[in-house]
Amino acid sequence: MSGNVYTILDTRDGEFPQVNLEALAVGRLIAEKSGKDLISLFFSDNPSAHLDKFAGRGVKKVHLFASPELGKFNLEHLGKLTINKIGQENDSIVVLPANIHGKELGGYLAAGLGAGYVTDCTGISEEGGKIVYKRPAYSGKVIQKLAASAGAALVVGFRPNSFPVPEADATGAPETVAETVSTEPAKAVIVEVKKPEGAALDVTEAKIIISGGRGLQEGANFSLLEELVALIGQGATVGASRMAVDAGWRDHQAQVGQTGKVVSPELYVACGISGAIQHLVGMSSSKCIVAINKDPEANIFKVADFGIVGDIFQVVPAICEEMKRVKV
Amino acid sequence: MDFKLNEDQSMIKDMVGRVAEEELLPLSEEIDNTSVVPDEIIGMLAELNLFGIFAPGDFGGAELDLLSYLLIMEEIGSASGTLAIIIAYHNSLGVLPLLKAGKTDILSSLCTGEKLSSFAHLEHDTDYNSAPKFTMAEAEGGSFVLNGEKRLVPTPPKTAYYIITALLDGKIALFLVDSDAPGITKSGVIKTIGGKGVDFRDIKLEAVKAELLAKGEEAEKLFGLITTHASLALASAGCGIMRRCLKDAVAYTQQRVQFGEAIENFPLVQNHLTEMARELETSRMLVLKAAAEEVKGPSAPVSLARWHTAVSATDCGLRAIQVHGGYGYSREYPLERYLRDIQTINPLAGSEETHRNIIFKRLRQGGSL
Amino acid sequence: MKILVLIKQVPDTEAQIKIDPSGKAIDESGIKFVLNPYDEFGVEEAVRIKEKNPDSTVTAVTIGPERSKEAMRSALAMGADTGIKIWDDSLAGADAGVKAALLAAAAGTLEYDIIFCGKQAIDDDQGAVGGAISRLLSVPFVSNVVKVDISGGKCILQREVEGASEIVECGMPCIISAQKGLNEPRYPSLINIMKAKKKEIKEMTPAGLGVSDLASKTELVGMEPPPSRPPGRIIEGEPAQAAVELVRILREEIKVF
Ligand SMILES: Cc1cc2nc3c(=O)[nH]c(=O)nc-3n(C[C@H](O)[C@H](O)[C@H](O)COP(=O)(O)OP(=O)(O)OC[C@H]3O[C@@H](n4cnc5c(N)ncnc54)[C@H](O)[C@@H]3O)c2cc1C
Repeated sequence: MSGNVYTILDTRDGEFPQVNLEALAVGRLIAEKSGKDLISLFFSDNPSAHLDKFAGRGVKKVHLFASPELGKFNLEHLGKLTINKIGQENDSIVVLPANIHGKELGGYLAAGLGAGYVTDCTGISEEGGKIVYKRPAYSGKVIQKLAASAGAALVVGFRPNSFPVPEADATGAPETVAETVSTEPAKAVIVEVKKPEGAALDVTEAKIIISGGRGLQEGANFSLLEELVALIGQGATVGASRMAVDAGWRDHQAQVGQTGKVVSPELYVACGISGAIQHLVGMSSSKCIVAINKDPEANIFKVADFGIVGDIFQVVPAICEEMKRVKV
Repeated sequence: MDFKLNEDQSMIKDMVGRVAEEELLPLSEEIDNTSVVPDEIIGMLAELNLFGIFAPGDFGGAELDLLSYLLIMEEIGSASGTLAIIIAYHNSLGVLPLLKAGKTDILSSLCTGEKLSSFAHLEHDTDYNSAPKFTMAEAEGGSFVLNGEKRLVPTPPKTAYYIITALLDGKIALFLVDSDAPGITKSGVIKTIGGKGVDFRDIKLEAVKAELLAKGEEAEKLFGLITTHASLALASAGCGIMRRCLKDAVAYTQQRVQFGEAIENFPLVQNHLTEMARELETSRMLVLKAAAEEVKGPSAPVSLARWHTAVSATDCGLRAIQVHGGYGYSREYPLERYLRDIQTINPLAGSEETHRNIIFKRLRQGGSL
Repeated sequence: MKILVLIKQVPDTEAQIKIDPSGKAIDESGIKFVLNPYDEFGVEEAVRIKEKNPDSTVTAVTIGPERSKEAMRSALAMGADTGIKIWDDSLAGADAGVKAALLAAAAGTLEYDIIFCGKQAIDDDQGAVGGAISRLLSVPFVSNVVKVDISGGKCILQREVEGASEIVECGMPCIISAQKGLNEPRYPSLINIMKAKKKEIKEMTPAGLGVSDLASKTELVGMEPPPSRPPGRIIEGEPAQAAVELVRILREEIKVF
């Protein structure tokens, strides 16, 4: 039997996150290329509250798994329910949202479905009758092109912000199927979710990142960047180099790079960051890169689309002023 | 002749190289600026066994071979000239004479880095090729007392013992002295061109109680052995600084653009870089060759290695400054520090004169090097 | 406590990666290999648990060719007690699924309370193994962990997710993938490097582990260098002028806000 394209989605804190829409867009792209149907498995404590999100996204059918314990991510529940539902279909393709939970699930599903696994996909094309998934490896120094082995199913994860999410079109709402949920008690459960005070938007979710490095000289000076972020508003957040994190100026949640997070926002502004290779691998796939550095030779300028050679303590406040001016 | 490192050696080199790059290098500018080596650094080096590199395990040492020691010194040198001097003095001129003299009761505290040791030999008008002239030892009731003055003695924090040379019955002898023993007066830290934080001081000895480590012919041999050992260690440290100069120079010339081209494409720049590579590699080869023979005391191969390294390192440091153009002279770049540290390390444990003399003696005897 | 740590030898982060003429592998010549940095966090955590619970054992397990013994020795020098190295030339190019099957089989021959692995190996950057062996061994898995507390036969783990930390309570045995922040890995001392040489590294093969299906479910079609970015533009002028121009470009040309 020929398989389908599945997206495995859930909610977080009752919300339907943006990465889900991206997963649906990726799923649709693969469905179109492979001539398969796009089907969603949707896990939530209250899935019906989000049914509208599936409309106009090329989804044929949504299987709804409703249960209070599905309100929080649980690998064992999601994994087992998905594997039971999909079974060992040949050549089906399972698309996961681009977040930590999705990544955690990916290996589990691949093993359970007897499928191959591609993570961090950044592009999908067709070559010689195969769907080929491009993904950065070796910290972005190489692009691997992978395909499912003949007849094998495939689990696909992708890089956030790598695929366009079109507006919903007129294709309408999918058919929904309510599933009965029976789970065994999980061995690992979330007992608490801690959000840092005044939780900043995570760098991997931000559309715009204003990042600071050792050039900021001290932790308190990050307020400069915070001011700019506040002026830009929604979708913007503050990032940091490892030097800034190691100096204790920023939480390591905000670290971009090899041992921090890999980001690809629409705009990345590097302030007082030299552009060490370990930093570059975390942000060089950003759509637009701006570098502000007083050293004209700084490596960061090599990857920047726009650069200002100057002192951050002059340039950043000037940008804030200009932002204030154009906003009113 | 085998130039390949064995598994132990390459792993040790990698580990120390990582520590140097990730932990020591980022602090070396601050050490240079403040002339202070933070306690935590000494503590970290101690935990890694860098104060007991070749001493036996019984004393908390790592029992490494000479080549491993020299590889370590190159890595440390590549990060900080100051730390290289401290480690070389402690291991070659502190731990080694105590080991050879069988003075083992304090070795554990030294190998674990709980306490540091240093070496005092220089006086007005003396070098490493001559016995002390102004420091006298006298027997006094089964023990000894020292009187005199020593110059430029490294006294980093935690230095608890000095190995001191003195004249006993007109001949060189080696003594162990508690650094806080009554009768020792230390000058303030002497302002040096480099090696900031090594804390070079002059020390005055007035009836200081001392323990004899070696006298007579035995002392002469021991003195020759430990200074030779230190010479090789410091030469390796010099290679480390050269390596850093070259690395910085290559990186700079790749990114610095002039007339629309990276300056690495300019023949003059390439000339500097290839000369620096030659200086580094020949120095390293001579050090390793000298170390391949059993090191017993002053020898022409060791002196050649030491002298060649000193001359090459100075030249290499200057070339690094030159390819950096105006920046090379600026204190915003570390090049001038490298050169200052090179100048500080070069004469330690034997001046150029001393080494030339040893080489010449060998030539005169018709020996080959 | 019996702890397994899955480790991998990978090119150093500074390594320049060149694609082999076959287009299917990287050119390994001149590359320095190191213990995967995320696995280092795992080894460190395991050794710290051992230091607190003296009768514990730490076994490092790797899949890799002869050269990967160096990474194994690093783990042993950091404090792992013994090593297991799995290899057979047929494994060159095997995908994560095959490797997970082998690691699960190896784990199956051992006793364990915790299995540590790195968040991902910085060569393939997949992060697939932890989840896969979780399924194969029916053992819970928590990824991206920055804090491990063990009490009352349970692990309290802190998993970092986008914009939040999740505290996960997990029975043992369990699989934990380590993220930066979990600890500061130690540098092995000279003495421990020398001691590591005397520790045992047991060599195993897929056949010896009873794993016969070594077919990858993914096919590497090829590798290519990343697309190069077009040269950037330096915005000249005094800070104030440059700032105005930058904001204009971002609003009007790039249209990000
Ligand atoms: C295994 C490993 C993993 C690593 N992982 C990461 C990682 O995940 N992320 C990461 O970022 N790094 C990582 N690093 C560290 C990386 O190598 C660099 O050390 C780090 O990125 C440098 O941070 P920085 O650019 O803030 O500091 P620096 O390199 O010190 O650069 C500071 C910059 O600020 C500029 N500057 C100073 N003052 C001003 C001013 N007033 N105005 C304008 N500009 C100014 C300077 O010109 C300089 O370019 C890793 C390293 C290793 C070995």
